Amino acid sequence: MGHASMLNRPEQDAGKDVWNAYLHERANIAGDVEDLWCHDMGCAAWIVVRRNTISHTIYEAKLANEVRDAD
Amino acid sequence: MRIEGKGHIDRAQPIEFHFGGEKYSGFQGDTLASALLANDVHLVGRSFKYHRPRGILTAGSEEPNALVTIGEGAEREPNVRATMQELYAGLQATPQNAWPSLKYDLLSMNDALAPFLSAGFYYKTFMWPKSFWEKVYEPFIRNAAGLGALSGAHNPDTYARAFAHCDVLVIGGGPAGLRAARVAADAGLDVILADEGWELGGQLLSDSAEIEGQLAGDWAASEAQALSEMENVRVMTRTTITGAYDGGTFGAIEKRGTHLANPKGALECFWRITSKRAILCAGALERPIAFTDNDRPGIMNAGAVKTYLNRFGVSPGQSIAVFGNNDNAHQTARELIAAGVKVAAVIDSRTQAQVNVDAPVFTGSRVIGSKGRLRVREIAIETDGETRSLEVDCLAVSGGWNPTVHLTCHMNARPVWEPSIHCFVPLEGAVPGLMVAGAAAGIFSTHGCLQSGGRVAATVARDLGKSPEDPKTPHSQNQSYGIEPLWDAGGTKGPWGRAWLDFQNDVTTKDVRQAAKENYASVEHMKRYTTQGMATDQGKNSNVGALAILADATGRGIPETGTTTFRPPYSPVAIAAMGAGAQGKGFAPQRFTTSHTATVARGAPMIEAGLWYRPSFYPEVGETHWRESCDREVNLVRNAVGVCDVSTLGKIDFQGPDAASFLDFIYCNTFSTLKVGKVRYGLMLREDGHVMDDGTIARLGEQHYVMTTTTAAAGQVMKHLEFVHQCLRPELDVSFISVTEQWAQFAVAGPQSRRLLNTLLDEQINDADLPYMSCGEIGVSGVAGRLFRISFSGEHAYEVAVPARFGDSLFRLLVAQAEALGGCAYGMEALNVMRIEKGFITHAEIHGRTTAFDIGMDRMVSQKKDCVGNTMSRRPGLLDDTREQLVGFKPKGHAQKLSAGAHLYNDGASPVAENDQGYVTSVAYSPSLETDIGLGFLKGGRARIGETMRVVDALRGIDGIVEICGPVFLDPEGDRLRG
Ligand SMILES: [Zn+2]
Repeated sequence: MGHASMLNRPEQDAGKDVWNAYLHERANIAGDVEDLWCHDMGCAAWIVVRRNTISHTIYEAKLANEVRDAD
Repeated sequence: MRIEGKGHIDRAQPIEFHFGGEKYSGFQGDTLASALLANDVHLVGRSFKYHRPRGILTAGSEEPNALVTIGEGAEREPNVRATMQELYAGLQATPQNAWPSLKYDLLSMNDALAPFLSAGFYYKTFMWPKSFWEKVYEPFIRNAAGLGALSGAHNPDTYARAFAHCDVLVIGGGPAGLRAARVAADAGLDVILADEGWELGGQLLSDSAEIEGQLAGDWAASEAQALSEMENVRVMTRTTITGAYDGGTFGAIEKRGTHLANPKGALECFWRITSKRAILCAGALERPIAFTDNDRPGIMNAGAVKTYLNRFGVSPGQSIAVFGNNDNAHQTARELIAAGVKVAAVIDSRTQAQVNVDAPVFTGSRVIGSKGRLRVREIAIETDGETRSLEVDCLAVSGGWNPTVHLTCHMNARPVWEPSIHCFVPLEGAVPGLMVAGAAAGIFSTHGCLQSGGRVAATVARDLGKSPEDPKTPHSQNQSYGIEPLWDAGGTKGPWGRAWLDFQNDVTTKDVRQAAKENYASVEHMKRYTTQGMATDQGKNSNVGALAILADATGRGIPETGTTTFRPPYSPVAIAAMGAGAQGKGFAPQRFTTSHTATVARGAPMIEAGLWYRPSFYPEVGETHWRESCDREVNLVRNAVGVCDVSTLGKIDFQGPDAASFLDFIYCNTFSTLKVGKVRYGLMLREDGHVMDDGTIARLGEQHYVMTTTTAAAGQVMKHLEFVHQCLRPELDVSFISVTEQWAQFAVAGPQSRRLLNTLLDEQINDADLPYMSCGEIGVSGVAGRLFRISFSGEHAYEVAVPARFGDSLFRLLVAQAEALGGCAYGMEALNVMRIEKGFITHAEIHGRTTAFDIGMDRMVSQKKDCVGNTMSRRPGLLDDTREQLVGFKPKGHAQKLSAGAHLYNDGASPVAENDQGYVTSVAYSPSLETDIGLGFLKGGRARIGETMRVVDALRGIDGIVEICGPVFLDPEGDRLRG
């Protein structure tokens, strides 16, 4: 799905720049990233995965709803 | 020539086989290559580009020349390496790339054209002129080029896929691998030991050296036996590890039946092996030395000659010369002599070489040429400044050894140059969790390999929490190596002096030098310009040699020149094995509705809808065209009653105190205000403001809703709902689950629909209790079901749902009752016609680029609340009056066909992209209106009702005039729905 910033959905009236950034702007990082993954054919969980795009190392994975609840 | 008393073959079991139409004999335990050599057959193929005669070069999977086709007909398998093909009774092998025959190949005229076919030839010559390319060059190249060919028929062989897990995967069962597996297993780890051969031992099988006082091959056999008896060890022979992937996963191909005359079950199995640690013990590959005409049959790698002698009891010649730049080559000469074979000379390029062989020795000398038409007959030796010729029928060459680093490159690491042994060795940590031992790590003595395998395994065992004893290395010799680099021994100057590097792709030292001269000095450019290393062997014999020549030509060192990388698979893998089971019906799972059996029994042709199978129409006796059936079904629904299985629509059940709030956020319109027992149409947007899906939502209770999605989008919608709930609104207390397969649901549509249902329902329904867009729970012939008064046909209609186990009997009952009332079952064609007549959209219209505004539903996007897609749907560009808007079309004038995909132009405008005004998305023949009708999108369409437009479908040759109309063709007021 892309970067875990998808979790931070703007308010309805946040303005077009904020919305544009939320929907379309992503840094193409070579290194550590936080991704949003989905266990599609399994338990349907959405998870936040902290990983490295160069080495493919996965450091940590958390359930997305727990990340949200902690905010 | 067979040598008595040598080899692991079973001389009590002779085997007959065919090669190129001739009958030969070998023994159980032979490869096709060893059996051919035993019969004195060296010529086995023609080269790819120049059609040069080629012989067997190696004794392993790196073989570039001896590619043959095994078998005949649809089962034939091209590009099989004769060095890996085990002999079986009746084996049929055919040489490749030769026409009309191996000995008289007409295309070897390419060889005479060689000065014109050098590196970059394809790029330079075939660019121009275009017509020549299509008519002359391409057919010629297609005929002439290429290795083996497939039969073109369906492959009848079966393949399999499987998974395995272990603590330690040991890759390769030579001295290092056998030791590593044993030490890891003794430490209590779960071990998989995989080897591409059918017998463990690797290089030990080719050796006459001793280990612990036993012959190396016998020691290997007893170790293999011990391992196979351990419960925590799985030995996988005939299994090549083909790729290294993330997370300790390896791909492997296991040959299960290719060595048998009558294989049963899967021919090959593709494995995915996941291991905590891996130890690469893949050994090393010998490299040839380039000199003029070094590709003649009979010129072989020195290690291969030793293998044929010791493992198969075959001498590839009667008078053999050995040429090398290292001590290892001398061993081949010594063992040949010990076996009674004449060694004509040992030629060593090193001036200081100590050659302890009882044969004529030339140190500081080089082989610079060869003669012989289809087999080497004579070699030219440059020694002491003069050239001598020597008659031989075989030349054994060793340019040194390259560690088999391939797997360590699969995750993007490059190997590193080791100047002391003049080869690339694996980069440490190149693949996480993988360590390298033995010759693969650049250790070239038997003792060193045994020691390193044991030590690495002990390290791995400690890493995994075991306490292994310090491994005691079995006693063996420590052979010397002493290599000095020799890449290009030279030879004839001028256009005919060609020294081969890449045998499989016909690349010479000259090609590489020419690439450098033309400034293709980067190794990646050189590779693509010359095609070196791009054949099926990925340059296993030639990469390092080509690199050394390039380094020399560009005045750089080898490490500065760099190296190309290796990618999976290590050796070719049949796509059929990777995709095993996924052919034909196995390609995707099939989903059947509960009415499937009854529907098929009625002769309905089934079409795929996603993974589902649905009926196109239900043919009656005497109907010869689908349109006849479809028109009848539409008429019967419109005038009596029809029954259609709609179970494939996604059905999602929502429960919980926040179910209403959640749906308000999912849909652009409002569901918290929907009364219990009512149904509402809903439109779902993507966050970017475009339409994702539509459907109906029924409120069954205060905290209980059932949503339907379109068949096509059910999976996508479910994933979206999970995303919104887990990632955006986790605070909402709602649960939902797909119940698509739990409920069988049937549309009952037409003026007689209520009458039909009342024959089956436990309680009679009437219009007052169940008006249009209402729902409720109801008994259906004693079964607890649900009834929705909704319509996708525009008729007075219902959808009745029962638990899936009653679906089959309810469908049969409904159809029987419908027929009794003068109606019928109807399929997708009729359903589609009726929805187009009513202007109802599907994913043909909501195709991802349309907004609620475009389909005339912008008023549904409630501005009283937030929802997914709300903010972005307000973007001015998405609400522009000039956007393409949903409209209907009718052909104007005499009978014309409409077609989906046709484009619209102003009447009189030429049909070019700049004039494009819109397009047609759905068309049908309406039996109710007796004309073709269509839906589609037109720029500013809602304001252009009544205009005429030109409609052009260049693909189907349609060019006509249509009248723009509203998208609802039938009963726009909805009297039929409510009546
Ligand atoms: Zn899961």
